Amino acid sequence: MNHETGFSLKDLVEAHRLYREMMRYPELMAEMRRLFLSTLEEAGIAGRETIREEVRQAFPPGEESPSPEELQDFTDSLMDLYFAHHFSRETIRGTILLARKKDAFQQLQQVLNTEGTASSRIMAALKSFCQLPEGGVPLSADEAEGVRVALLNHFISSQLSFIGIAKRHITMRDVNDILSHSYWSPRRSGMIGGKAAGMFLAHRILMPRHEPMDPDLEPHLAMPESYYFSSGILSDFIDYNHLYSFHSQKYKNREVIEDDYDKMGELLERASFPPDVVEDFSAFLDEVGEHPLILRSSSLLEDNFGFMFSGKYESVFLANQGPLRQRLNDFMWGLKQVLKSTFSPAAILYRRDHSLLDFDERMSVLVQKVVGRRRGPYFFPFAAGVAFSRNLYPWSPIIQENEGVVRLVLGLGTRAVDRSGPGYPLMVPLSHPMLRPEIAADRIKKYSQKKVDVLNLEARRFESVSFHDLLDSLDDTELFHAFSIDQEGHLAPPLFKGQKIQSSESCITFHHFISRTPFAPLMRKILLKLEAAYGYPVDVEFAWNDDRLYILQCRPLALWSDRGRVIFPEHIPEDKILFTNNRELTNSAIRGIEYIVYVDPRGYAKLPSREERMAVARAVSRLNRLLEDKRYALFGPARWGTNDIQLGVPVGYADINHCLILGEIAFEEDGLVPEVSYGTHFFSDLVEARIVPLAIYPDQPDMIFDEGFLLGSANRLSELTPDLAPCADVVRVIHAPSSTNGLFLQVLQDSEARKGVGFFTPPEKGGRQGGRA
Amino acid sequence: MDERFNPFAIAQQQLDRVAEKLGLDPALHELLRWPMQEIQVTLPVRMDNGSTQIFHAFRVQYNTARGPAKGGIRWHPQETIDTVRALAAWMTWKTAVVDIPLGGGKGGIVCNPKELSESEKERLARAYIRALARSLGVTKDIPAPDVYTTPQIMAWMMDEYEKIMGESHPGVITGKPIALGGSQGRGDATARGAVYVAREAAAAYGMELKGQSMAVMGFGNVGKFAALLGEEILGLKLVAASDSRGGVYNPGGIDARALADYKLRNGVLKGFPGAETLTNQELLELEVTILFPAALENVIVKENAPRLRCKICCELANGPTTPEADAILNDRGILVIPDFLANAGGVTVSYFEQVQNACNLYWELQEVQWRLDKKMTSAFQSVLTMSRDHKVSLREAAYLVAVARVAEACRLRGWV
Repeated sequence: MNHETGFSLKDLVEAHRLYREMMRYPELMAEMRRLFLSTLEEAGIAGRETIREEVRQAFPPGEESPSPEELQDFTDSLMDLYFAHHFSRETIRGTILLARKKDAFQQLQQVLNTEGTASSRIMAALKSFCQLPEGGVPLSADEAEGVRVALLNHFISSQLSFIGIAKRHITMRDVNDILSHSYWSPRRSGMIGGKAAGMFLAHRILMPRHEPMDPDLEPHLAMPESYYFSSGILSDFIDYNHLYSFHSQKYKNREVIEDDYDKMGELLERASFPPDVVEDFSAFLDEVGEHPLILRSSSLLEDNFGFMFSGKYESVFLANQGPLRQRLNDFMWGLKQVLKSTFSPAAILYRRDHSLLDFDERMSVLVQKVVGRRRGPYFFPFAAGVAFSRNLYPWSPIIQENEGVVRLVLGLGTRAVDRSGPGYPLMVPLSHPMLRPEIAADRIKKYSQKKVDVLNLEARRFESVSFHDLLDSLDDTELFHAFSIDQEGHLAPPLFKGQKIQSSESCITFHHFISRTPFAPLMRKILLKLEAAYGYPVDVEFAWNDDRLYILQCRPLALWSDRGRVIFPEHIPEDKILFTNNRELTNSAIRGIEYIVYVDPRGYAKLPSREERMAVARAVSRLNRLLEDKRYALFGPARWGTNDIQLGVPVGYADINHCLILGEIAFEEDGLVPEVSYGTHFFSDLVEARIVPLAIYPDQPDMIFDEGFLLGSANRLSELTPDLAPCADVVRVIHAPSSTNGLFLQVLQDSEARKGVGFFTPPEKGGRQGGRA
Repeated sequence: MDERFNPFAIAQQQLDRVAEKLGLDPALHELLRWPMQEIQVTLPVRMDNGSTQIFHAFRVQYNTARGPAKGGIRWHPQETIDTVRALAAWMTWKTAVVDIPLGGGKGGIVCNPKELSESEKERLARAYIRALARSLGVTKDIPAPDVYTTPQIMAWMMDEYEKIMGESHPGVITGKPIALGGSQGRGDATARGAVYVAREAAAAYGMELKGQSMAVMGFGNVGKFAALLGEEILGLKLVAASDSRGGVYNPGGIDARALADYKLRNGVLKGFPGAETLTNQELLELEVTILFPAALENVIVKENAPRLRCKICCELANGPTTPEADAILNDRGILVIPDFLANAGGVTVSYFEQVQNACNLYWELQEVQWRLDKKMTSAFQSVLTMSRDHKVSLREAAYLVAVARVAEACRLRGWV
């Protein structure tokens, strides 16, 4: 030994210890020593040349020449000795770990980049990598990004818009976490879909793995327990039952799709899952126990920005109670429902409208434990709803559009995303959370939530129950947070917890929930963070239970891209105006409307039977098809798209998707105030299809509504389709040019100036009548 | 403003017709055509964002010959002095027709309360009182809630007034929360008053009400109580009721309490078990003994008036019948109990609140109801007598009674 190096006996012992550690990974010896050398070089301790020189000195010329193996062995030992002498045990362990990581990483890269590698091999390689402890010297950022993207692409979604965001927030270990909660088919590859991962992504944005968490969010933010069932499972199910014809359904014409849809349900009813998959399901249900579940669709197409598929695909609640056999049957029924919705007429027509038909759509399923707890026979979260990082409905000028808005309900959030009556979700503008559009007690009560969506665990079904029936199920804090009490016209929140709340005097206002819990500032912060990370406004579904906020879903928000100012003509002759409006405006200019379909609200209200109202809904749907290639506007009673026939015409997206304008007319005596549909699935559909929703209040001061024109002009309904003639009293089709000496309807809506008008004007030169918005 | 739609011009025209009928002294007539005192104030209010916003506000004390002015404070973006003047005039006639020792007044702030936070509302309410405190008080002018003002706003206003005066004055404002001196029985006061006068009207015209039918258009706060009390006090059978989304009808009778409960749970009447649906228009035209229009203005118009088949139309809403329709109903022998008599129960209990505040002694609910019955009964009898003496409709008679009472007070004071 060269005494000038100054190695001691202790160094020899440390070098031996190091060697023993290295011997645990003999295949990584070379890699470890490469790292030792580069570390020594970087620290300026010893380079390759220094070591060589020492070796030369150890074997002076003239003595017997050592063999190359001896020389190498000596060099390696010397390098170990140098490393053991100069670095702490911690650095030594970190360097060995880095060598192991690099190796595992290389293997992962290799399997990922080999075409046709089975998913199981990739998962195994990822698992090996992730089993290594975190921390220490990081891998190269570029290489890590490459592998993250490849993993996302393989397991989660191949949509570039999703990957672009996800790769910045979801780590390899996150993918491994997702995979460890996921179920795959042994026979079919598949993905878990970006919608399922969207929830995970949102949590990672808010709770980054490698950065300290925001102290405001930390005590309250929680992630629902989630499991991912890859699209391969449902593809395998289709193979197993030879249901291949389902995939060509989308190319059939609309009538056939509708007719076949019921038959599909029967086929699915009889179809079964392969036995090994059923075993997986059974093991899963055994693991989660008797906790209510929601099965959320997560299709591959849903990840595209701009295509939200709002409500097109089914989400199914399962009470998941009882013996395993029963729960298993319910679970498989739920999966079939989600799969079936892939082929529903509404979903296929939506894809047709957005040129997405040729994509090989596959459905995976996100299964979450429903957030909430048992209250009496019911299970539900205290509150839930949907939040938007942009408030497109700022009903007062002081409301900041970019601070977002929440549609809040007591119980399950279904009541906030569907347009269902009676009652209304609470709209909370996050810039001014306590501001509400009603003042007097009777109005506040009228526009409050009446029914609460819950899971009835005893009846094992989803139910909507009156809030009066839940008063005994909520605890004192929840009652204190949710309700206000009306005492002879004085509506006020309870003064203290435990104050008696009598059902006949109370209504849901969430007064204390908004003023006394961190919910509103928390939600505002979350939306700002998510929008910044997405680089795009977002739409979030959430639930709040026991002081915890759960983000259930996050996706880009449907917006009108054209938000520029609309220029109004200087003078519009009053006799040419069909209507004016000044509320719930969306910037838009629609020209050249040739047909007006008018469902007379007064006539509709008079229809005595459900059948007659359904006939009107069918007529609207039929006209939508007949006028498919025409520019037409649809006007009728509030609320369009409701699922309560008492409140409006029960149409879905597929029944109105060709109109340019969807107008809601609210006569005072027939039901003032169309509900603000903003935030519902139905509204999202309108936005994406660039259909302009508008609300007309004919009885408001200074508003014009030419009902005489709509009721007095020739009705073309019977000409278009004689079999709809029985509806002609209520449904009117007006050919604008024929009724106005060649004029077309033009609609201008200016949200900034809060004015809107529909008027008749000559067609524009050049034939083309302008874009939608 | 176009005089045809100027509410104050309309109020003056109504008075002119009555003055002519009464042969009112020209000077007295002219005095009654105008508010005796109007106060316009400008209120700077600090907003939550640190800026200051300037609000314009009014208080009109139309006539105080019979006692201190009484009337609500409206917060409305389209508030105008003429609207406030007209409403103050109508308050003068209303307090007179039920013979409570008060004059008529009204106030308003031009603002959009939907755009104000709670603390901004409070600062605005207090600013209004600071500006007007010298003109308010139990001996001068007693405000109350009105459009877009609530019991909470009344509470802030009372507190501000007491701070300025340095003493307790709960009676300076009515419509306060019960915990702060509000009266029992305010919730159903308007409907209860109407039911009492309907009872008197039926008795006067020899109609038996027990077991007879009623229909309620507008099953809201007032309409609901009309149905419940119509059943409880008069023994009427509710056959139809409606809200903004349509109505329900069962000629065999509808349990009003069950219907109220259904509405509470479902937000609408439609779908109530055992009843058919019908529209608001159809409800108006039902053959019933008493029709309570409790919803909106101008629902009985010249087009449907010939088709109404009720015996008594008791106007719970303000202005449900247009003048043309009113004439048709009169010709057809339908007894119309005019709005400002039929719905005067509210202001009467407001007055009771003030009386209780002044005595610092609070009545049991039964006492409030008993006194309300006495007031409404007596008011109706005066109107009936006037109607029979002058062979005019109850509406005209009510105006005649009211204006005559105010005129008499003015004369006794030696003003004219």
